[in-house]
Order: sequence, then structure tokens, then C-alpha cells
Amino acid sequence: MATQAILGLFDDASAAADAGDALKASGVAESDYHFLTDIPYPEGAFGEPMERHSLFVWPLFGGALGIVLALVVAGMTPLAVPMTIEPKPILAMPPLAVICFAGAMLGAILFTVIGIAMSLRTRIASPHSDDRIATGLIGVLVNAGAAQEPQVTEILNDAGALDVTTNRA
Amino acid sequence: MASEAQAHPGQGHDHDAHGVDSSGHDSHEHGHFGPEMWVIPERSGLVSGVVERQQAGSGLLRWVFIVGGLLTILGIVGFVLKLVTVGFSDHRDWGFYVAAFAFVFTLSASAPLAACAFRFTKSHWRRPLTRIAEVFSLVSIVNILLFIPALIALPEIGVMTESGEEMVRRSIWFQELSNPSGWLMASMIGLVFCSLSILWLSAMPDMAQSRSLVTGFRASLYARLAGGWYGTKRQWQIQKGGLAILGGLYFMLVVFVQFLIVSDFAMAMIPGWKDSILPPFYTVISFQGGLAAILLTAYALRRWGGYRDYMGQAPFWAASKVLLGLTLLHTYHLFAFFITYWYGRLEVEQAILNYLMFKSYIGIFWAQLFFTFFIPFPILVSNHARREGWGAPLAAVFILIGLLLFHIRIFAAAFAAAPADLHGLYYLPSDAFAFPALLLPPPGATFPDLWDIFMILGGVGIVLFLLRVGLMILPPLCLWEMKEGSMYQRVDTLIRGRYLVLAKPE
Repeated sequence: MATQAILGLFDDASAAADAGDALKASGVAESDYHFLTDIPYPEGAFGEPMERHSLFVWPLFGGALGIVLALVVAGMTPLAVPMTIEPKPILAMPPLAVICFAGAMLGAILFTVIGIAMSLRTRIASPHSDDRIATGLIGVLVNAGAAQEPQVTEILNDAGALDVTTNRA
Repeated sequence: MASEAQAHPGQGHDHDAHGVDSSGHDSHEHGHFGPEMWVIPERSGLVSGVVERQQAGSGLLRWVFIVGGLLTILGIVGFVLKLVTVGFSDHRDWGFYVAAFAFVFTLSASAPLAACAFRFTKSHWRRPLTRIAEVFSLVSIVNILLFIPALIALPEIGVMTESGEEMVRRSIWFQELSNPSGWLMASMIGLVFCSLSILWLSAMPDMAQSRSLVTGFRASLYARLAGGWYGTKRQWQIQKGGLAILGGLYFMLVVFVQFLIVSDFAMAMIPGWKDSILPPFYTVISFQGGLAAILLTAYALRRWGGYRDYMGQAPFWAASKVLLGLTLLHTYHLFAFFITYWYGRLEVEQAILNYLMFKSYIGIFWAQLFFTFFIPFPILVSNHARREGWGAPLAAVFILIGLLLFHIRIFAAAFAAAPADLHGLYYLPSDAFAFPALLLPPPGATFPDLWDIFMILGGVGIVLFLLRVGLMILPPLCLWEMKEGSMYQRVDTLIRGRYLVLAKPE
């Protein structure tokens, strides 16, 4: 079934929140409508469900991987090619700690950026936007089947949308 | 427009171009604060207004571009001629180059941290300063290039004599003969990558929102870097979480890289200099320099760049207190460094004090002290200068000059310290770690030749040039944060004065 991206634009945050409530009440799944804003609104401002993400896993994984790699590279090298110079030991822990810290940081940063890039990809089936959102209007984007379009449009208009546009995928 | 315009919608007050009420109010109506203290731009016209302002440019920014470019060319000429005339055979020839590199690194690596730190503390006054701080990430790209000759010039940790004896010098690394240049460079690249990632993530909403207003290269760039941004709740959450994580990692890494730089390129180069205060001292200096550079840039944009409608005096007022604290910390660490060595009175400690402070480099030491403390301190202490907005930028000018002198005094002096032991270096026999001092008597100060002066000027120039390029490519203000600030702030009346009212959602 073709998915329609129906975008209602609101100049009042409360009206946008009302539109969200009305869509939910009419049976539109919460994953099928999104609030598009030009700034981050406080959590729950539109009555939307809490969004969960697992971004914190990426730096932990990257950091652990970085430490292991640093230990292998920096620890194994002097052991493989030992150079005895008094009074320092061949494998001194302080410099090893310095290198492990560097490895952990580099791994954590790299994997965090990868995680961010992957997590930022939109999960909207049929995305649609409007330049007027940049001026402070709030967009309520609904992904719906062709049969639902009239009902969704009516809900958005009833809630006080300034404009409703449709983009067919 | 500004706060007063927003605070009185439809009340018929007259406002001038800065959004400042000009209907004959006396200062009493603003409480104890001038009308330009808080400037809260209108949310609806912010993106288009800033893009228009950016495209219009200004005379000052054109001059910054030209002067920065010319100084950069001068620096490149100086570097090439130095390379051709002396090569890398003697590290002592490259002390001033390392000082110039360290100065650029200090400013460009620490400035983005201000955006992260003040975002962590959720302070509202930071909003006009955030993007300026983040744009220094673009400047930091040059750190990677500048770091390559510095690594080549850095003497090896040890050498093997013809008799087969290994001669080494103190360092924080393993007892290998060569420097771990790979780890040093990897740390530097990681730092730059992290700061650029922060800039990308922070600027992504702004690029998405302004991509329909720009053309040419910028339109193409914005589409590539922010093409997938729609402003959904999830995207905002990922952005917020990502900025927090990357900010934390950046803080940890920048302090670490500063530790590496000052340890390898300064402390380890002077025989007998072992100082636990120097790394944190250098970190404080870097933070001070980074904040000074941000405030100076912001003031120039506000005063001469046409951004007065978007930036009030409040950011300078608030940040000046942080700058005052860092200035005091700088001086405290300097005194702590001195008093510890003066109290210890070991031969080597006296030699280092004489070399860096009281004999060889006495002139530059006192000049630095004046520029980093005696001149900026009274300016920053003055409540009037802080509140009017010009105090902190004026102090920043002196602080930046002082920091340039600091880098020359520490890094150029460190590279010049080596009393000749072996091939012009100060390698010691491996059993000589307890050797008291090699700076007796302290060698004289080294003065820069013409190419050194070119390279130092080039270091200043490349910061100016890349900063200007960054402010041309990206919106110079963090638009989404400014708009968010407009939602949470307004100027309202309390009894007879007008004050800032803040909403704190978290």
C-alpha cells in the first residue's frame, strides 16, 4: 500500500500537541506520526512517548576495543623486541597507561561518531518537510495509507493547522 | 529583534535597529542594566536574518581574511626558507616553530571545549558564543599539519653511540630509542576528529534549516552534511546525547593531548625539569587562551561584524567572570611553580628558575606576567568594564599576547636548552638519571631569526584566516540554540526594573 506523508503545520505548540492526541485517539500508531521542530522541545511537551536510544553503548564498546588494541600494540611490541635500559623496566606500566588511555579515547570517539551517524538516520517511512518549520512552525508529519488521508487531513485541520501538505512516496 | 521588542508585543513602543527601546526611557526602567544587556532575537526571522547578515559580510571580516591570509603566506615562506637553510638536523633551530605550533594548538583545541562546558552547565548566556567556539574546530585541522614538522624536529629519546652505549633522555614514554610519534599523531588526529564531529553535530540543524537560503558551495555542503535532518524528537535526542558524550570525551582527550604536548615538547627537553604542576598549568593556560579567543571573536562580530541585533552584553558579562577565574588560576599555578622550586632550592631547580624566569628569559617572563595578569586583572575586576561588554574582550587581547609570549618562553627556551653532550643533544648515559643539573650556568636566551618571526606571525595568521573561512561557511551563531533561548527567556518588569526571566526545563 502506498504511504502518504501528510504534514500539518502549526504555529501553536499546544495545537500541535492536540493534533497528536487526536491522531492517537483515531487509531494512528504512535510510530506513524512525528513532530518536526526547529528546536528541541522539553521532554513530553507534545504528549509524545519517551524516545529511548542506546547511544551510550557505542563509546563503551569503542573504548574497550581501543584499550585492547592499545595493549596489543604497545604491550606486545617491547616484549617482542626487548630493549633493556636501566633503570626502567621493559614493559613499564605508566607509559602503557598513557597509550591505553589514548587508545580508549580514540576508540570511544570513533565509535560514538559511527553510532551517532547510524542513530540519526530517520525512521520515517515517507519523510516530508517544509522550510517554514525553520521559522518556528511545528510540523506534525503523519505516515498513512491512501485511505487514511482524508481523515488525517481533517484531524490536522480541526486541530488548527495553518497548512496541510501531502507527499506521496 | 531584541528582547525589549519581544517583551512588549503590540504595546506601541518604538524600537531602533537593535531592538532597543528608544522612546525616552531612562536607565531606571532597565533596572541596573543597560538596554543592550539582554538581546533575545525573534525566533521566526533568526535563520533568514543571520544568513542575510552573513552574506552581506563586513569590512572587518574582509580585513581579517586578507591579513590572515597574508600572514599565513608569510609563515609558509618562513617555514620553507628555514627548512631550506637549516633543515631538521638540529632541533634547536625549530624552537620558535614549535612555540608557534603550540600557540595555535592551545587556542584552537581549547576553544571548542567552551561550547561543550557551558552546554553541560545549561547556561543561557552561552548561546551566542557557542558556534564561535565550535568554529575553532576548523582551525584545529591545521594542528595536524603543523604537528608533522614539530614531530620531526623533536629529538629521539635515545641514541646508540659508536661504542655501543645507549644514551637516553628523560621522557614519559617507554625506554625505546625513538619517539612514539604514531601515538602522538593519533592523539592529535583523534582530538581534531572529535572537535569536528561536535561541530558537525551541533551545526546540523542549522545547516538543514538554512539550506534553502544559501546557494553554490554552501548549499551543496549543507545538503551533504545535513540532508537527513528533519528535526524529529528522536533526532533531537540523539543530537543532545551525542553532544554530551562527544563533549565529555573531548574534555578528557584535550587535557590528555595538552599533557603530551607540554611534557614531550617542553618539560622533557630541559634536563632535570620534572614538574607535576606544569601539565595542569598548561591546561589552565589553554582554557584561558581559548576563552579569550572566543570572547575577542564574539566582540568583533558584535561590534564590527553586524551581529549587534543577535548578541547582547550578557554573554561577555558572564564569561568575563570565568575569564577572571582562569586568569587568577593561571597566576596561582605560575606562583606555585615558582615557589615550589624556590623552596626546594636544589641546584637543578635554581638553574631552571634562572633559565626560564630570572636570568635568561627574564624580559619575556615579566612581559608575559604583565600581559596575562597585571594588565587584564584590573580590567576583569572592574564591574563596569565587565558589565559594559568591552572589559573581557579588552583583557582577552592582552591575555592572547601574553600567551604567545608564554609559548615562546617555554617551548622555544626548551628547544634551545640543550647543552651539547652528544651531537648537540643532551643525552645522558643510561645510569645518569640522578644527574643534578645540566643548566649550570644557565645558557643565554635565544632570539628568533627572520624566518622564526615569519613563522610566529604565520601561526597568528592561520588562526585568523581559518576562523574567517569557518565563519563564512557555517552560520556564525548557533541558530537552534539561539531560538531555543528565545523560547525560554524574556525580559520582564519586576517592581520598577526590567530583568531577564528564565525558564529552566531541566
